[in-house]
Amino acid sequence: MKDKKTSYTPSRPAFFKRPHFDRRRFFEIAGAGLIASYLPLNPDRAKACTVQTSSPVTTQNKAKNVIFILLAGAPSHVDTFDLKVLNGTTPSKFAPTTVGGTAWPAGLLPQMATQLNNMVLVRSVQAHALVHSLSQHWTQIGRNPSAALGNIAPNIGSVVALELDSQRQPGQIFPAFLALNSATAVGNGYFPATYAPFRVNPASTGINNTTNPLGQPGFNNLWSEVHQLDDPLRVNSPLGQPVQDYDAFYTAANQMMYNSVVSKAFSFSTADSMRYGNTSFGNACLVAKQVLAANQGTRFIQITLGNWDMHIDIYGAQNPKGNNLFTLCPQLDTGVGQLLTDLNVGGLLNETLVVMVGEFGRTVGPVTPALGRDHLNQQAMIFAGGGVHGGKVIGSTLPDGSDTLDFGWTPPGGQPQRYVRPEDVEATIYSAVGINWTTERCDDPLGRGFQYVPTTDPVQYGPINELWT
Amino acid sequence: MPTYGQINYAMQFPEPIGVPDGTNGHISMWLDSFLRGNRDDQPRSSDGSILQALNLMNDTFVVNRTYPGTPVGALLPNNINLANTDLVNALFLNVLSRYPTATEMSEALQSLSNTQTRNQQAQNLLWSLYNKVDFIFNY
Repeated sequence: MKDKKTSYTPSRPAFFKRPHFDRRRFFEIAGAGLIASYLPLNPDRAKACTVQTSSPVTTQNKAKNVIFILLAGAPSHVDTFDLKVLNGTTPSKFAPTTVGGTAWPAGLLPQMATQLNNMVLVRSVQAHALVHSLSQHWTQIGRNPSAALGNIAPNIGSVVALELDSQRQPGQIFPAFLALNSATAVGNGYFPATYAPFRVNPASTGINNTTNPLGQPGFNNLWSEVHQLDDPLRVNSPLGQPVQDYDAFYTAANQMMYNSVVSKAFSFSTADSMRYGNTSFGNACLVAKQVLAANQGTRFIQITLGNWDMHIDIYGAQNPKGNNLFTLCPQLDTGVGQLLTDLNVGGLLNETLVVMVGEFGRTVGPVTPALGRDHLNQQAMIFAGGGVHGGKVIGSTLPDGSDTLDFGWTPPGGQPQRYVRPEDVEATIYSAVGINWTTERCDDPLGRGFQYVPTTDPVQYGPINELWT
Repeated sequence: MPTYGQINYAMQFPEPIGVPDGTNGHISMWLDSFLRGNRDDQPRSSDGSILQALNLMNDTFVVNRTYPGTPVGALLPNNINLANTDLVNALFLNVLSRYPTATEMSEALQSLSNTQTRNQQAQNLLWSLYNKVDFIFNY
């Protein structure tokens, strides 16, 4: 007997009985196609980069170490490194003066004024973007953080650490990349964790956790206990290389404990701290100097000094004790002034490139109705040491400081003159320590090839060689 | 502690950055050393570092967990009266959520065998469990 419900006409089955794609089958087929579209048909296409490459370049190779001072929040360039005196706006306490042909707020930055003969001011710098987190990140990795490799890009310091760690001598136990007062410093990206910033907030007592609450004999017991118990997993680990790497961190950490070399470099006296201004930034400068003097394998030191984002009351007219140029600049001035002085006395300045840069500049002319300055691409920065030809200025700006008038440098490869960009600063740092900035690595997890300094056709970024001439 | 208004998005959570925490940002420093990221432009990472090893070995967050007198150190007094084998099992289960292997058990029992130093050895064992690579990699 025929079921009338399933067949109205003998020749055709009911609608739902006809051959058709059900939903499951549809996704099986569509999904397979979708996944297949990601699979490489050609192995070469999956890995665009197979051999590490670089163009032959001449690096400056005059510095051994780098101190990178990030002025987070973006300092007002027309009040500091690119002083523009504006009657009725610039406070008289700035005591604007001219040091060796360079306009300088001697009242605001008196100690740095005495170091101008060691510093090169670059005034033709422009940021790509005006967002703090984005641009700070950009400054530290020398590329667009939101571009393809932005998420995995290492800090410039990690690149320097990786490249220069081959020069490490036996017995040098400090991490290659030290980050002082830089909790938010960009990390090692896709590079091995050995080259991650070793983050320390300097304290007179040295590095936290380099002593154990049980004391040294107690700790030695713990150390032998954990190795007795855990060595089957740590040595020739069945779990693989990452575990052995972690054991190496333990060994390195153990070397830093109860070590007079470590405590001497990372702790400091009250007298020294006072000399550096008795601020956390000053202490960081002091520790940076001590670490470099210890010569224990640290090659790149990042120091962060924040609070430059002065949208309100930049000259402290309403609240002299608030966050304004007169409360923040003395920290920078005393710290950097002492740092350069001490590096010079110790003979380290010639082999240490000091870079001072914010993520962008601030608006020019009269202050805003909030008595502050807002964000602007135009900025200014300072290089010192590392053999740079101190006492000069690269680039100049319009009378109000709003834009560059003369770039003052020539990019590599005979390109037309243009602004100094974070990528150029990155290339300059690499060149200073002898790293070929055109290097392209092939070990990035995306398989795209990781260029130390990104190329953005037609722009070719490169070092500011004029610093050294 | 600051107070926070209604939270509508995960992005608004006060954690993990910029919260006043511990003495001199102790908690933040600790968490940062384990590369927690900031939910915005710094991705999380499970990379290791020297600083992590220093923290795991010496920080009061870990060491206090082995001290019977501290609020977080209750694990040891709660189990210290067990027989040695049971004590080792209890510590492994509490810290690593697994039983010790035969080798681990014999190592642990050997260190606990001296009754004079048993309490100290139990503390050392507990500390070692927090510093075992499988604890670090699994938890």
